[in-house]
Amino acid sequence: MTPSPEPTLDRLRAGDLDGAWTTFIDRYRRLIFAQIRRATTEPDDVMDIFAHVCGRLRENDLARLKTFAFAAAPRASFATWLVAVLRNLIVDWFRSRDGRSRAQPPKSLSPLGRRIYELVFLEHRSHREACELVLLSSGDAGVTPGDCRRALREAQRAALNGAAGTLARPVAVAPIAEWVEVSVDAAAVGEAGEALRIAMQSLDTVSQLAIQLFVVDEMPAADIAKVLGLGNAKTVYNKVYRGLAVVREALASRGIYKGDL
Amino acid sequence: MTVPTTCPDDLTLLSFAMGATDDPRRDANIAAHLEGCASCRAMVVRHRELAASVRRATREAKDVGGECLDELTIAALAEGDIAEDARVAAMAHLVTCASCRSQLTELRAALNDAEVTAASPRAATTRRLRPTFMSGVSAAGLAAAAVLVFAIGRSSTPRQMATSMRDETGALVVAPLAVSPVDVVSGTPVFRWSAVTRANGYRVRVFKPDGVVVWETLTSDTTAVPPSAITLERATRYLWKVEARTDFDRWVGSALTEFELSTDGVRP
Repeated sequence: MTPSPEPTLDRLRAGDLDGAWTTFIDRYRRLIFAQIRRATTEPDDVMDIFAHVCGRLRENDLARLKTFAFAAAPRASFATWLVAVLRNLIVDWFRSRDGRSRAQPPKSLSPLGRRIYELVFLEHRSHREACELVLLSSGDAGVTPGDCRRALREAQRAALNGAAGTLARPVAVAPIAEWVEVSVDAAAVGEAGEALRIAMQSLDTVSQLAIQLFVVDEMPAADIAKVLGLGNAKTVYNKVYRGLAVVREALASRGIYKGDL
Repeated sequence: MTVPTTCPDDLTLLSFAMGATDDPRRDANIAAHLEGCASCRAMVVRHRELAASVRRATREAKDVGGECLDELTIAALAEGDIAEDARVAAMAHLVTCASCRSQLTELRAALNDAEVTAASPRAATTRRLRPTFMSGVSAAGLAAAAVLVFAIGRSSTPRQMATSMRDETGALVVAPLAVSPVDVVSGTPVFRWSAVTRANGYRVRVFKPDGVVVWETLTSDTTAVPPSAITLERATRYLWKVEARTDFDRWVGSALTEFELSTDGVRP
């Protein structure tokens, strides 16, 4: 058998479970800690999660690692697959500790700051989406885009200071200066919803997915190109631009947003 | 700052509207242009309004088609190394499943994270890391400790273990990793590096090959842009490094990284 570049897998395939585990921990403990620290920086939690991850990976004679070692045609690298597995194990740990509602936002925040914190850091919403949700739900309460912006900064400061000990997503903050100037009209958005879903479904799968990943999930265009097998980021921008144009046209034909088109 | 007199193209406006340019200086230029250009401003607002509607419609979509993707498929997709028929099948599920899309997006973000990349075994063999307590723990010992935790039970032991190892975690200081600029870059270089746990500041220095410092700055951020007064010559090799201050007068530095400004003008 030709040795693979990953000694853990060679030992697993040879049936040397103890050797495989020792090699695995030796080679990947730093990666495991790095991935855990993307979710939390609280030292107690880091070590508890590490213990949880090790336990889950070891159970049933390293069944999880064997999944990769004996897969018919694993095409991803072992490290990439491991990061995907770690992400799920870390989510499991938070859910078992906190339930699906996860941790509470810091009490020191204002009510709006707490709501934004929940949406961004605990529910994994994007900054834009969080503010849109707040504006939509605030009704006549008089919350302005400026209020959202300030609350977002407040929440980010709290997260960076580790006030709740949990950073549910990296807080390398994207620019937030421009986007909240959009007017959010709940009635118009509600009316457009079904028509928009139908318009989206009229697009080919690649265009739909490019729009979802770029607009909703905020994946960088270069990453989308890699995932969808498109040439480069510019191809992704073209797909998104043309797809949105089709959607806009479909909405216009139903009299939605006609003033803008 | 130079305000562009001609309108940005459609794709640039789309990228700006979505906050995806990843270039603060370019964003500032476009924002300045928008102040004087009603047509472009309206286009940006239209993009954002439609994006808000798309996000809302996607949130409300409930019908998930097919079984969720396994981790092997998600990983293969994230690396872009997947058979075409498998990719088509995966995409058919992804358009309906926000949970799998979220996993994929988070995995891509992790793969772009300099600390995760630096911690992968391949990177670890090429980078010199500061000796730490954790690196001194034998692999067998760590594995045994992890097993012991579960053998005894999770109710109390993990906490005890965490307490006894907390300092180790704190001591795991990893040097910052220079992310950009690397090799040949166009436009104004934006210096980016990975964050270092416990760092309370960073010092960035740019050198000429003869060792003369052409620019130095201190910041608490993980990016820095040279002021306009600093002129870096095109087609000239420079070196830069970033050092993280982790305690009083204690610094941990990245490797020296080479870059040079291309001669093909600003970034398209």
